[in-house]
Amino acid sequence: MTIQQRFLKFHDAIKLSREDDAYKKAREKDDSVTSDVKKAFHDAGYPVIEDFIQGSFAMHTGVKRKGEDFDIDRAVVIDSENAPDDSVKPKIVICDEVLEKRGFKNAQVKTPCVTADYASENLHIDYPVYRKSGGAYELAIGKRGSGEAQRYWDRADPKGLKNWVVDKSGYGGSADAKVQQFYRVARYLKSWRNEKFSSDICRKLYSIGITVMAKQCFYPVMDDEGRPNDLTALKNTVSAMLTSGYFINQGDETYVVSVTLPVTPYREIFHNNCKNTGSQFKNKLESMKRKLTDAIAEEDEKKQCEILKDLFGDDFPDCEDAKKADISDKRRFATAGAVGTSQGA
Amino acid sequence: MDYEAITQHLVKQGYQATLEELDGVPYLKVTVDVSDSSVELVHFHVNEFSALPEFWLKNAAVYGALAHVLNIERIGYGHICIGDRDSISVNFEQPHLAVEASLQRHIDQVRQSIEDSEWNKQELVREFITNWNNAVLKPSDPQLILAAKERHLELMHVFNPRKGSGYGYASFYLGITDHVSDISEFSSIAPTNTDGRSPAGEGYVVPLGALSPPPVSRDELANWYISTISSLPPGELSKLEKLVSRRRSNRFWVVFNGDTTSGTAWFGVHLKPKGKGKRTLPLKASNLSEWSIKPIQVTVFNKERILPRGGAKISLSDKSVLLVGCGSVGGEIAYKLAASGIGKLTLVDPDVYSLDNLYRHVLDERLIGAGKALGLSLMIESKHPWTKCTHVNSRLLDLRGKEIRKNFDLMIVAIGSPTHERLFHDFLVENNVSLPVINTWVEGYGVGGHATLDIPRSKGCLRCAYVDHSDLSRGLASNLNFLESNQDVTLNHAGCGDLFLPYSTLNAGQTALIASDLSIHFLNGSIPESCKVSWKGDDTEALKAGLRTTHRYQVFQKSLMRLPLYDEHCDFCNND
Repeated sequence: MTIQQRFLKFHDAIKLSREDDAYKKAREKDDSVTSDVKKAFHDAGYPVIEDFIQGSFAMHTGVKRKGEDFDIDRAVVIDSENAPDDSVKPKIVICDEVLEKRGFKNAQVKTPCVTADYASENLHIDYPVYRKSGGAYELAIGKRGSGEAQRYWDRADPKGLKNWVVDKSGYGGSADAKVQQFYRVARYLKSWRNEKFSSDICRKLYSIGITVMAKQCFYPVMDDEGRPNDLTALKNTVSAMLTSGYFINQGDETYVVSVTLPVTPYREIFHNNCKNTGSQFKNKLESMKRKLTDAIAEEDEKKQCEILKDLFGDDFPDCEDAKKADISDKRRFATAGAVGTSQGA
Repeated sequence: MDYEAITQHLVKQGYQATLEELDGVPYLKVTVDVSDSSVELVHFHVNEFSALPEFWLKNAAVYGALAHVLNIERIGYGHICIGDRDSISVNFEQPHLAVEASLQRHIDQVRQSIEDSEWNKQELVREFITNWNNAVLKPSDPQLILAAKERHLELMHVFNPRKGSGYGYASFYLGITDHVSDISEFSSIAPTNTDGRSPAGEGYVVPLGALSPPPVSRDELANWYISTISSLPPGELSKLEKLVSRRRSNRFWVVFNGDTTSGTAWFGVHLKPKGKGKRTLPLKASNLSEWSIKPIQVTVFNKERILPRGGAKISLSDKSVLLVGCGSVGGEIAYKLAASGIGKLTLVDPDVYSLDNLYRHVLDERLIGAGKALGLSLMIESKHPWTKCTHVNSRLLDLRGKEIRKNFDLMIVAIGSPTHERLFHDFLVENNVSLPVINTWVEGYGVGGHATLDIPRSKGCLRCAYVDHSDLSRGLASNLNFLESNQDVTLNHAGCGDLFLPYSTLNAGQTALIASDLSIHFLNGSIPESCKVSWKGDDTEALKAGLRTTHRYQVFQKSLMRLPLYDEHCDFCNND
């Protein structure tokens, strides 16, 4: 198995998307809950005019986490003209009229969204509510008991962020293949975070922060024949993440990490990180860069694989003898039923 | 032209140069010493030097037959040949230097011809045909195209030109011997194709072996003929006498061939009795006095001569190629292979040639309505007499039979159908059919074209060119392509039934060139491993049409270069 095959197999193991089989039940649940939300909002006098998945599903960077719930970020949008001035009101409707009635545990109205767990399906669900006027979105901020000043509609650009992450306009030829490589690199990084950090730190290293850093630092790596090289792309991305000014020196070799949301409202993504989080993040990225560099230089495929397995954990394919054939990988067929080509004679 | 200045320059350089006039014609005379005598070289004035200035040898006949000097008896000067004047770039802005450079070349040439008699003789033989044509031929002498093999003493049948033909094969006398059965029946010079020609008598092809210099003038032709016949080795002479004794005629054609260091020279004479009545061919001086003799210009037509002369290879004449797809790419490939010397082509295509195909297809309008394979067969054989074509009205997938390997050295697939090509490839693999295959296709909008050569038991196969790099699966579109998949690349002028991929005849031709080049090199044994070749064109039209090119297109800098076909992720090549 070549190193690229191993990376793709690793990616298969960690990739989570709405189309994933493992996610099928959660998806059905999401569809069903969304349907109830639409009915409840309609009854409340502010019909849903739009709903969409946001977060890592929308950005193609979702990863599976062992023992963790599936996350769903389902944005619901109402028309500004019908929206109540009280931004918390529709969130309470979701919480009380839909989620609690359907048996979700811990349904809560949090500041940016409504959140709940559906334990039997390992489903964690977030419902951000937006109002929309023209093309502009505003996010419903506030929770139960928030004072007037903490209840407001705040400018947001949920689609802009998604579009920024999936943008491939600067990648030149074979842009689809190159943006796919970016998605993989982002997933490798998130999977590495899950593997290498304690749950406490891990929770503070927000996925969107890693995704934004990766997007800003990623440059596609393909050979002249168009063959992607994920190992080098990942190493280059990590190197660039370390030198792009995200880590701010706090003295005594301590750091905080600072990444700005690239779209409205351009806020600090790691708004509550501390020196410990930033320093660990930087140090482990440095270590990752060294190991990836070693892996690139290593000629023995088995040793190369072992370096990577040490980085990514059990999800990375086993380092069997490199010459041993992997039949399951070797009989892979195209996933498309048909492809239009430019071939003629 | 300032010949005063030129002359002064030559004098300054040590030449004996003077300006003279002959019957009012001004010329530059240069006298040089060669072999203890003075030789005069003469340059007649011109207005500009569009080629190297010419010098003529005065009284050329005095020096006997000189290599590279053509004596023009009526003017008493010899024209000196110093090579291909056209390819020499002349300093017309400094005419004195041009004259000096040219003069020295002329002097060197004349000096070597006069002083080195052995070299002179060898050169006269080496350039036998030039000297023959210059010394003895007149424009009105018969021109004979002869279909014959070398080194065979044999009888020849001669036919008159077709009446009214001013050009082409038909305008020549045609000589046919018995050793030309390998010529295609569709060729204009096929032994069976003498329609419209009347018999022009018979004659003989006489091999001479090593040649002596040709006669120096037309007047010496008769003596030269007898001398040449009498110099034949005794065995050959007796064979000729025996052959000659069987036929009496009132005209004979005799074509000779002989060896020179630059190849075999073919030339001949036409003999006609001065009196009436039929006689045998004269072989002795006593008989020849009753005959008039004139030279003929012979253009021999056998594959040993014609193929190498046109850059084709004799070694390919026993190769058999199966070409599937006779469209614009396949048609060009067929022509290129035939022109390269391939002896046997089997052409396969189920389509009929239509008017829509006219501009980017090699076939002409007379074949509209004919099967493409049939039309191509006819045209290939007509132009390439030593390529035998077979035409099959069939599709690629209909050829899935094990016996396919037995008959062909190479298969070329030029159908532009990735589905059929992959299916056929898999058939070959699954049935252990060991047949080398080239797949070739052109892409739309002039962005490029590709060819893969899949050699059984070497690393790399067609499926290597289809590995989907994004997931390493068996892809559906080739990873060689320069346009991204799943784009709307076809056009139509009249609805769904009229869809076509836009590309020009140049694009088809370029693609055919890389496929043909691959074929020829493979059949010559110079490609041991499976490989691929692409040519990259301009993307202006594609971009105008809103199409996206691939990463490979954007970084590709290896047009026409053979690259390894093997892909380490191809499961066909890695399933041991």
